Amino acid sequence: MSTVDYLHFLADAPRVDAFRRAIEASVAPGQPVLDLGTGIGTYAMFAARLGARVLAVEPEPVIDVARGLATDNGLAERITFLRGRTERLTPPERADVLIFEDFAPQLYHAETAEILLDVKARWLNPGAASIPRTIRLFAAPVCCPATYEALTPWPDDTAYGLRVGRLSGDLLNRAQPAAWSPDVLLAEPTELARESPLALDSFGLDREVRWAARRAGALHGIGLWMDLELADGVLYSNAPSGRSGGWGQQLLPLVEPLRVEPGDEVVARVMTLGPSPPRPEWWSWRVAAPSGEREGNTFRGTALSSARLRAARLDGRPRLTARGRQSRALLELMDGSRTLAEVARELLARYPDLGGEREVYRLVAGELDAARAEPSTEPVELAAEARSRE
Amino acid sequence: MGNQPTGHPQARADVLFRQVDDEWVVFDPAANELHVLNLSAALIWSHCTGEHSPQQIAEALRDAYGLEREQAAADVGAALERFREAGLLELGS
Repeated sequence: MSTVDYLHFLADAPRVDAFRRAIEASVAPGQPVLDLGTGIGTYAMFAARLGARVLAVEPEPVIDVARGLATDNGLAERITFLRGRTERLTPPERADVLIFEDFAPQLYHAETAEILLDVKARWLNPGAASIPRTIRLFAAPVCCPATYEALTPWPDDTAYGLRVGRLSGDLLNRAQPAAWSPDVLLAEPTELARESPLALDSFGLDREVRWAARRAGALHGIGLWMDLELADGVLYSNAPSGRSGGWGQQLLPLVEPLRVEPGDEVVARVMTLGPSPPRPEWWSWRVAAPSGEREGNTFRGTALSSARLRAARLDGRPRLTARGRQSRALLELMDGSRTLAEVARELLARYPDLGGEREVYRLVAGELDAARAEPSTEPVELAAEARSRE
Repeated sequence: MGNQPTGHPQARADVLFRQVDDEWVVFDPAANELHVLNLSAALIWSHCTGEHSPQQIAEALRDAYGLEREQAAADVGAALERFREAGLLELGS
């Protein structure tokens, strides 16, 4: 995410203000608080302002912006910033309150589940509270021509004289973001699930739901959204309202729309699939109405090729390419004894056909970016050394 | 009855099926395993809806490929056995 993305986040006043009110209702002075995915540190500063001791964790470079903002607000001493992913860090202390909002708009997501399970086991005290406290996932059949037409802009699967039907096939098997008004709803929404971020033992979904259509229309898919109970009396809804911001809604599209008439029964089975709970890697949906049946799944919407499938077979025997060997040599040169410039020169000496200095520096920058995922590795030491020379 | 086949093979509801280039794959998300099917196995798999007996599936295979009845029945039997061994069918189906 860029700084502009975070500015958009900060401008989403209903969401930020709801979290501010929830933090004020949940956090006491002196309490250890974990703000996971702190971004520019907004929620960490809300908690620190109340006198809490805050651990603010963020894997992206924006954490440096957060540090600066905390200093500007006189809160730096109350906030410990940790750069990295929680599962690779050692927590300096356990927290009583977790603040976390990096949910997928459709809630169930494998990475989210893994992060939260680790946080619960290693970062939080028993009985810790979370903001949000509960999340309710809602679903409704929707008629959303604009969203759907954006997925199928070429009715004859031809664009500029090119056959592009394959693209629609992929797009119609993915969850698509949307920001609808309530008039897309073909029936009363139904609660699909209710989850607590700290009770993820069965973080997954397999529900059959039935709706009675309240009006006629083209059924384009199942709409999903989350309502969050952040604290007592502090609710944040993503239901279709015509407002942008928040997490918005998601469309599980049908490969072809189904016509529904008032009173028609629409039945859907919505499942998350994965190695075993709680790892919802994939979504599958089947929808039946009197006019027909449709099914979709995100596995079909994933770009795959026979060559990639064969390459990923466990009994395959991988071999480094020339570029892979260059990367290996580069990483071995980063042993703490050479400057970046020396590393680049040495690499160019070994691989003169690399394409010149520009290409070498691009390769070095790429490997450094990968290495930066670990905060205790080379870049931090390099930064310290650079400072000492100033 | 337990795990004895009922005669109408049915794919597990959570197993996913799609075409990739000129191949067909069945993905078992619970086991995180992909099974690559040839065209005739894909045709057999697509009939594993719980609505068709092995005999009916063999007829569909005969229609598609012009096989002898015995050959089609043997191919369907072998494919269903492979699907069962891989745990891709509902138990007892």
